[in-house]
Order: sequence, then C-alpha cells, then structure tokens
Amino acid sequence: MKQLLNVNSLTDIVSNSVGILIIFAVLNIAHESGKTHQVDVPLEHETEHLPAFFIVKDDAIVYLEPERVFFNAMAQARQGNADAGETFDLGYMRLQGEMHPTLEFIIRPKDTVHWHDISELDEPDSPLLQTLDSLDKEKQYAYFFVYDEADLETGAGSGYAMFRRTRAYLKEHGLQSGWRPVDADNPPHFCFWDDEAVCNNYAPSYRAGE
Amino acid sequence: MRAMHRRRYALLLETTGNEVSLFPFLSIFLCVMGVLSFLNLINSAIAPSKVMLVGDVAQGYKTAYQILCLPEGMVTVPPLKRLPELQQAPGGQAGELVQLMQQRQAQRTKLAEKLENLASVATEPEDEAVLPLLQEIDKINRLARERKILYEEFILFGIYPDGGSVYHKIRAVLLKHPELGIGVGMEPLNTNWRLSLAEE
Repeated sequence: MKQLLNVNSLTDIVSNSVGILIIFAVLNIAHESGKTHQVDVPLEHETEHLPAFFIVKDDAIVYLEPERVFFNAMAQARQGNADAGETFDLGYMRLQGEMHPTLEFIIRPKDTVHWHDISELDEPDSPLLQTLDSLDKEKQYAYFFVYDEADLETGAGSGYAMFRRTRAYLKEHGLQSGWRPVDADNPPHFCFWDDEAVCNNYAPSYRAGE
Repeated sequence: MRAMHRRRYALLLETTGNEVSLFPFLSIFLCVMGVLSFLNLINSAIAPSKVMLVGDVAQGYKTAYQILCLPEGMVTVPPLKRLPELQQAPGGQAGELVQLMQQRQAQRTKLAEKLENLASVATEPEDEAVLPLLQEIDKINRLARERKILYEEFILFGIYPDGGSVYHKIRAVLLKHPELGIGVGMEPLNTNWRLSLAEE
C-alpha cells in the first residue's frame, strides 16, 4: 500500500503558531492603546472669587483659617516677635510663620500631626469634608500649596495624591481650584504689602464641574 | 472479503487521514491565553503608565508647549502638529517658521529616543535657556494673530515630585515678562508616569 504523507503534525503546528501570533498581536495592541492616559489640564484664568488657602503635605491637608493664621501673625508682628528671618509660632496646626524681605509672610509646617488625613475624604461628615463644604462656590475658590518633596524611589511623601482627591471632590461640588508646588526653598507665602505679580500670583486653573 | 476490507480501509483513510485535529491547537491556545492574560495583569500592575497632557480649553485652539519639571532639570516638548498650517497661511517670515519647525522636529525625535529616561535629557532652567523659549512661543502666537490663524500656544507644566524648584525658576522668568502674555497650565505627575509624544 502506498504510504500517504501525513500532514497532521505540520498542520497542527502551523495553525497553533498562527493562532498564537494573532492572539499575541491583538493583546499587545489592546494593552498598549489602553495604557496611555489623557490628562486634561486646565489653564490659569482670572477670577473675581477669593482664594481659600490650603497646605498639603504627605497625605495630610490643613485649611488656613484667615482669622487664626493671619491675625495671629499680625499680632506677633505687633508684639515685635516677628523680626525678619525669625520664625514664630502661629498657634495653629503646628504652623510657624516667618517674615521675609521679599516673600513677605512665609508659612512653614513643623509637622502634620493635627492635620486632616486623606482617609477623611472617605468619611461622610468628617471635619475635612465639613471644611470643604463650607466654602462658598459663588465667592471662593480653593488654592493649594502642595509639598512635592518625595522619596525618589517610591514616590511617597509628596502631597500629590491628597491634592488630586481633594481637587476632584471640590470639582464635583462646583468649586474652582488652583495650586502650586512648594518645598523648603519655595515655601507657601503671602504678600500683603506688595502687589507685584511675582509675589501675589494665586490663580485658579481648574474649573468647577458642570 | 479481503478486497472489501481494503476498500473499507481505503475509505477510512480517506475520511480520517487528512483531518486536522483541533485538540492540540485548543489546548495550546488556552494555555497561551492564560499565560498572556497573567503576564498582562503583571505588566499593568508594575509597568509605568504613559500620560498625554492636553489643555482643557473651551476654545479648542490652544496648543500646549509642555515643560516637564524633574528634579534633574526641565524637559521641553514643543508642539508641531499644527505648525504646517500656520506656515502655509499667507504672511511673512515663512523661512523662519520652516527653520523653527525643523528645530522642533529634531527636538521631538531626540526626545522620542529617551522617553524611558527623561532625566538624561533634562537641562538646567537657566534664564538664558528659558527666555528664548518664551520668546519663541510669543513669536509663534504673534504670527498666528497676524495670519489670522486660530492657534495659540501656552505653557503646560508637568511637575514630577521634587521638580517644584525647577518649576519655580521657570515661572519666575515668566512672571518677569508679563508682556509676553503666555497662558499657563500645570499638573502634578506621579514618578512612574511616562510622557506620550502623541499630539491631539
């Protein structure tokens, strides 16, 4: 009897290979296309709203209550405790103040022990959410000083995660927000006696949700 | 009888000999699918995400000139997509625009080779490096206005952790030149976010 050439094995191998390559290609394309995230970044813009200031460091945030922070600073200055270059306690949330010749009033946090933790964003009626809800979206916007110092290997330590989540919450509730990165060399600061744009430049960049 | 057996055998060979068995294919297919899915899961979990920054602008004509702020310095990503449209519109300085487009293309090509290691192409944000960049953006914006093309470039800062000091140096130069009227947007970037050069 004639011996027929058996192509079963070859057919199996060819069909396996082609099928696997097609699957691999489709998965690769789907994987690559899904991994590019588009981040929409708004522009800074003028506003008549007044800023409500926050400092964000690590996974904690503090609202700078004007009556406590700025009045305490002015009281210290009147008492002669705020000479240029000297730090003084603001008596609020472990914050220290400093009068600087050009930056004017600088705030430096000693630590974040008494600040609001990121977990409060998940707790209904937490003190942080009450503070955020108390902002008037018709008259105010939130401005964040975000510490960006982080462990270069792990990325931990910067206030970015806390800032993003807070910003998202405010956007859902109709509030605009702006921010700037701060660190030990470029701390949060305010200019009360200087209208120069170099000093007073707190503009919202994120528009509120529709 | 033997002839009948031979015919039956030949018929059996005919009907079964050339059939392709799907069992090996299916078994390998399922195994590979499982392995690839597992690899994809692992890859998604540990691999860096690509991020494309775009300006959220209602007008739709503003184009981002990206400046990434890293601890090592700044990395500039100039836009290129709509410049040919600007160059083709009637008006002067066409030669300068062509040169500018070639410079930007070269810059983007060089950057594309270093996307996995942006720190290696980061440069110190000295005033001498930043001001010409701002003046270039201003020139493009002025040319667009003169040629009545709906196109405007603004600066989009992508700030990595510990890149804040670089941002402040560049921003200080910007604030010293308000006459340039260049818009600004900024976004914090995670350490494991990598740039995508795709333009909208």
